[in-house]
Amino acid sequence: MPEFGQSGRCRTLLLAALAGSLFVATPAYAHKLNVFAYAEGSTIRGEVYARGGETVHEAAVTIYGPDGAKLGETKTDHDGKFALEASFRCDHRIVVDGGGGHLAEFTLAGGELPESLPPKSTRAEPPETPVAALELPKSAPSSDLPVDQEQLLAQLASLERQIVQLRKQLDGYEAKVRWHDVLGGLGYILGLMGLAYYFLGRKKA
Amino acid sequence: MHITEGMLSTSTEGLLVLAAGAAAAAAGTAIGLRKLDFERVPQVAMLSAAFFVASLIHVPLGFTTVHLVLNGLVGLVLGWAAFPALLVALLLQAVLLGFGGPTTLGINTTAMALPAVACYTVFHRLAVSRDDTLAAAGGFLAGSLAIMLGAVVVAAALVATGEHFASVWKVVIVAHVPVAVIEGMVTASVVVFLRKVRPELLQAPLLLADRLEIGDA
Repeated sequence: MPEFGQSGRCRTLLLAALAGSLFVATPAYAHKLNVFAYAEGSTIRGEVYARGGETVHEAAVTIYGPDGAKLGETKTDHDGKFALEASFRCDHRIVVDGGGGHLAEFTLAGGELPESLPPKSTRAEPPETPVAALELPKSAPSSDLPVDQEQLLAQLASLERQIVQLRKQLDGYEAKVRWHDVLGGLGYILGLMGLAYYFLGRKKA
Repeated sequence: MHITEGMLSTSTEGLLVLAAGAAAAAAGTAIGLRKLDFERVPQVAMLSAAFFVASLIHVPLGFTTVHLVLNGLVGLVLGWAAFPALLVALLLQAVLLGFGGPTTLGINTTAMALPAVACYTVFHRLAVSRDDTLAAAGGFLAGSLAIMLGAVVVAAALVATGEHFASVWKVVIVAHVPVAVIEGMVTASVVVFLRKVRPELLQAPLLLADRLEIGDA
């Protein structure tokens, strides 16, 4: 019969070694794939990364329209990025297959795409030329204020980039493995152990 | 090696695979629970916790890193009780860490636990043998084969739902060979360590009647 009195030391050693090795954790392509996309004009740009931050290259990217029709497909490049021209102003459902059972999804709202694109109908022709990088708001600037359009466009472009960075950061933050999740899991296991002890103990008695 | 939640449920073959995986996991867990010994409970909990945490431990391998799985070790120490241990750990990983999800829980459990039990059946005798080298070899084989068999189960599930065998072979099976080697070495060293400090941990974990002591086999 195992004696639990003597087991504490080696068990603590094992657990301490496991816990210590957590501190040397480095990024790894292992469990969860994440994809993030935004619209730059009528181009859908996206990035695929694995939990831990490692980029995923050569992953198959397929884009579906709201009715399920396939709107396009491509592959991620060396940095995990991809770009695809949008032909319609509709929700684009982006599905990434990283191979080996890993899938990631992201839906780009149609509202992010420029209004110059036609709405998705049964059969629509894609526009001949891609539109400019930015669409200014509908209300025309009042004639009192002289507006330097170039400057405004440049500022808006930089703002857009910053928002994209922020969204990326948020997405990455949500995907991070957090300590309290790990501790919660261990707590549940200990709790189940207690329950098992209780029920098996009753059966024994 | 966790199959993503939502994957496989889009085709009828996929749903069949999910159902088969769930059924196998349920059956295995039932057997494991029935064979669960009162004294074994803390060990089951410990190994379940180790498996839960192991996937967060990354080992550098050339230009990339891989993570430990430890299902071979879980199988060697727990036998059929590997099913409930891994089911709990995978459920918690799904709920708290987002690895896999409710529909793929069954197939993921089967992919991890079935190889664990298989390795237990084949290599347990080696792990409790009198010879330390044989035990280390048994540990290595159990650890590495548990990974490869797990990869085979995942590959089979993917191929059954129509994925190209060639790409599945490369991404799932070949990619796990280095992981299997590392896992084998880790399992071997843990087995040798346990034999020295807690040999009773490696005893036949289930039926009190056929417990093997170190040196019996």
